Amino acid sequence: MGQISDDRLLKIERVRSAIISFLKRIGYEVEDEADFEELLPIINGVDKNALLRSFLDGTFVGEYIDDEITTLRGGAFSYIYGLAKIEIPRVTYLPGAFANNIYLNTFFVSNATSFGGQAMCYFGSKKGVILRKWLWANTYQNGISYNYSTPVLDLQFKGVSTTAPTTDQCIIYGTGLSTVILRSNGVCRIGSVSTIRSNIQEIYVPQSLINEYLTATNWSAVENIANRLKPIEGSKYESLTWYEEEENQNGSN
Amino acid sequence: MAVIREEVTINNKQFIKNYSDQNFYIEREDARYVEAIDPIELAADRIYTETDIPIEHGPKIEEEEVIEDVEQQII
Repeated sequence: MGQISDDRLLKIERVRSAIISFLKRIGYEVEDEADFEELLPIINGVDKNALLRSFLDGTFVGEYIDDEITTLRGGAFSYIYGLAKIEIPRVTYLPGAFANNIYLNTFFVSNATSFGGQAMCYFGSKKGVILRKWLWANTYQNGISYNYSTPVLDLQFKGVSTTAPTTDQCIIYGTGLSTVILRSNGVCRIGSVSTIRSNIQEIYVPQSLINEYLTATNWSAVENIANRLKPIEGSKYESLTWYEEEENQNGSN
Repeated sequence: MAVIREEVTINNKQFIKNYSDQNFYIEREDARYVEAIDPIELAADRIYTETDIPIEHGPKIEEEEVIEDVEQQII
């Protein structure tokens, strides 16, 4: 029997490490030092349909973190009740009903630039929703509607549409919403006074726009609006990454 | 088809409320509204016209009932 060269041993070790890494990634508990004899039965027992099945029957429990995926199909995450987190930074289009009827355990952060019809209807996120390229137009008839149980909504705009959202389809109409941050250089028009529900206690806007909001159509008639409008500047929300700091402090996911 | 203008009192303040009598959006300066409520002192400057775009509404009641079931399961 011939000797195995160091180079060959190194390649075998790389394969072993890659297998362990893969098994861990798909949810198996594997010791870092496991050898091939220990790994083989685990590999043979891998159910290649397990993840897909859990998405299909709605029993998936855990996080979906994927920095490779760029395209989603409509309804991709809908009704996956055990989904705690979605992290899909390369996805630029959130298709229709992509996340309906789910309730994430953390912040939902998205740089998507466009949304399908009712992309996140009845969508909840326990800590908040952060949209960094939001189109105000998508608060009207598309995008997120009936957003519930989401305490903070932070909107940074790609552009501000002149169409005010209808009340009953408006992103900021969530019953659990207490804080809204509107990072727009102009007043975000609202289609009706009742768009701003009484549960929204704080509305952060640029300091330079506060007086304009106080006399803007519909905004002026919102109950107690003078006390609810607050400047972004000097608040915890001044930093665009405030949610990262909060997550790090809490050590939560 | 017309824009109805009526005086309303909200939190002891007077406002002018504008809305379509046919359930269409109204607009001013290229901005579209379901209804528009302005401080009474600005009412003369803020004149709205009716569009021919009907006001759309959200999902039907039946879906809300389904959602209530969902909320009970996950919250």
